[in-house]
Amino acid sequence: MKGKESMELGLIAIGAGLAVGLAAIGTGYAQAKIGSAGAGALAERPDLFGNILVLLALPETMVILGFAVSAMIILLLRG
Amino acid sequence: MQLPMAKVQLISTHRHLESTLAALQDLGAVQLEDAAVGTRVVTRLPYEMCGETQRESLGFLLVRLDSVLGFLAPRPIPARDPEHEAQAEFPLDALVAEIHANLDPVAAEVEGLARRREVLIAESQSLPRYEATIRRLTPLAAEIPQLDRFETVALLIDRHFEPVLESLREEAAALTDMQLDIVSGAVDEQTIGAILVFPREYSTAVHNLLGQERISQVRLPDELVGVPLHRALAALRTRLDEIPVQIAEVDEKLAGLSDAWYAHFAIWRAAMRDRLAALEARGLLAATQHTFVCTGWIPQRAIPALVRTLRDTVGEEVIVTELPLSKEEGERAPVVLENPAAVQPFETLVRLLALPRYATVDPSALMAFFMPLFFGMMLGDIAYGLIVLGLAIWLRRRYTGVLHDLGNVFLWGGAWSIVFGFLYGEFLGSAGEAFGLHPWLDRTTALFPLFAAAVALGVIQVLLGLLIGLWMAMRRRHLKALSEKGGMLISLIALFALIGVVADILPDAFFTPSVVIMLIGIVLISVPLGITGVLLGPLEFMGAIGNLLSYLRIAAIGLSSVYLAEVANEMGGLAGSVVLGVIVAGLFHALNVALGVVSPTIQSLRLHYVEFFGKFFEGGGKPFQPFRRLGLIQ
Repeated sequence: MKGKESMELGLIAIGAGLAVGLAAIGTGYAQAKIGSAGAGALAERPDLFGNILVLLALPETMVILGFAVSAMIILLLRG
Repeated sequence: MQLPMAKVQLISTHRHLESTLAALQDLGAVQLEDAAVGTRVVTRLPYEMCGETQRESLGFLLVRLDSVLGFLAPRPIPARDPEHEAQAEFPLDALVAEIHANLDPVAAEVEGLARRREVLIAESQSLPRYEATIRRLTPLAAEIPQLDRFETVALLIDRHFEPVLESLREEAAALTDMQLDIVSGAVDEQTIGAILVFPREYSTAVHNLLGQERISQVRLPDELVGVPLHRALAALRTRLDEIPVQIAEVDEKLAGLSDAWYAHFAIWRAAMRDRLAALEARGLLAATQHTFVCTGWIPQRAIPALVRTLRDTVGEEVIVTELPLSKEEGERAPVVLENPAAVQPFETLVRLLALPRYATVDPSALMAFFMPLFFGMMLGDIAYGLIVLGLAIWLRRRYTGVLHDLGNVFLWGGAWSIVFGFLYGEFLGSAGEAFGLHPWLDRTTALFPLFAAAVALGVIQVLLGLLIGLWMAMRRRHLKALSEKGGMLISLIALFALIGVVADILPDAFFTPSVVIMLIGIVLISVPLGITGVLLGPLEFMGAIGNLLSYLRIAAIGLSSVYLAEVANEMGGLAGSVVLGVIVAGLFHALNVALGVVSPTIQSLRLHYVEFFGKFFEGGGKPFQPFRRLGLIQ
């Protein structure tokens, strides 16, 4: 593999990794806050489990979109 | 699906009050409501008919029975018992008197034994803590002669505070006219033990001094106070040997009482619960001078059974009327879900979010189809699917309730995992190739088709959700919801048409109509939201697109499972020997299975709760709680 091509591939890989990694950090941060508040709420109201699960799952859209961008970077740019 | 409910009103004479309530309780099909609410003609039952004093005494009796049963070891109780059924016919006062006559002496004995047991257990936990201290002080105690006139106090001091001993010796000697002696020595690297010996007449003064200097004394348990230290250790060990024997004796007596009385008390408790429920039900009745009025909710199909039961029990002096329902009342009706056995486990998952409101759609059957499909599509491995099936069978056999339902969910999920495992050609990742397994869709290379399939599933589910929401809005003539759901539906379809034009699937002639329809759809979404709809309408539309993209997680989680399986196989291959390779690969695959069970379950639930249910589901339903006999519950 020529140097320029391998450099390009490396940068694509870094870009794809950053896309999903940074999105995952954002998701993790949000879910940590929601999870700890939710655990406190559940201790007093166990019937709120379903609602809290929904709230906890909402920030995952960020990492899914990050994954989608990452996949697009790999598929479209690599082609 | 939900059973249609009806509100019924029963009117009968006062003399039939008890038999009517007994008949309703036996039938167990009517949820009683407050009959006096909303009427001006009738009032409550007269005080003497409400059984207030009986309620109080029954309540106390139940508490006592619960307490005694809590101390006794459970024993098997027959599902049906002639004694229990006969109890239902006894006059209440006679039944209560009989229970008290048997319960009071037994309860006193059981409570006494339970208290003794607690004391023995506390003693067995606290005594060993003294053993170490006494053992450390015993060598010092050997230097001190036993004199009746003298008292001994044991101290344990940290080595850093050793100078305190000298000042203590001086002060205490002054207090006791030089009649004090202190024997001290190191008991371990950090601690110095000391024993003070002084005449008993100076006891108060010495203890006050120790208190002022904040020096902690070694306190022995009551039974060892006064016992010389060199004998205390032996006494403590003897006591520790005696305690388990005494606990076993108490347990044997309690077991004997359980054998003799547990079943009787459990039967009486069930009878008292039913009687108390019947007395409490009187508080919901209304009355005139000669009649009482009872209203309640009942599944519509159970009305003939209700009429038949009352005719058989009470005769002709009872009128049963089905009341017309206003819109508001209809929304407050309790909910009864009835689904085939295969769908019932998914009712539990729906209830985790909320019970659907009356006359709205019960999504359990839809969840029963889609959720295992998503699960299988994410896990998609034959071997993992077989493991999940094994887990499902174990859960179904071992547990009841929520875990049993989860087992049933995993049963379908495992089956779909195996189906998709054949589609993807995966058995422990790519290890299936060794068995001649060929993929129809290789997840690691065919990324676009995988993403497209995931989003397509999302499109189907979201559009289905919108159609259901639209149908509900049409049925209830809810114009705002109709506009919102209809607008969302047509704008999404228009968006798909636009994507088709951009991808050269549809001709260019579709471009302008698609844009126009999409804009009309966004306007329809915005109108019900008022002036803020100008901003919120397009945001709602973008949110719906986000919902569709959310289904990419099916592909993402599936891919993470595939790559972890690949890592497991690679790591196993790198190990030096076959045995080590199998162990290493096995550990990684076990981790993958654990993640593969938890993650697809949570993500499938999330897709249902947020993306699918958000389009039509209305929670806030009230569970149906019929007035019935509770039976022999453990």
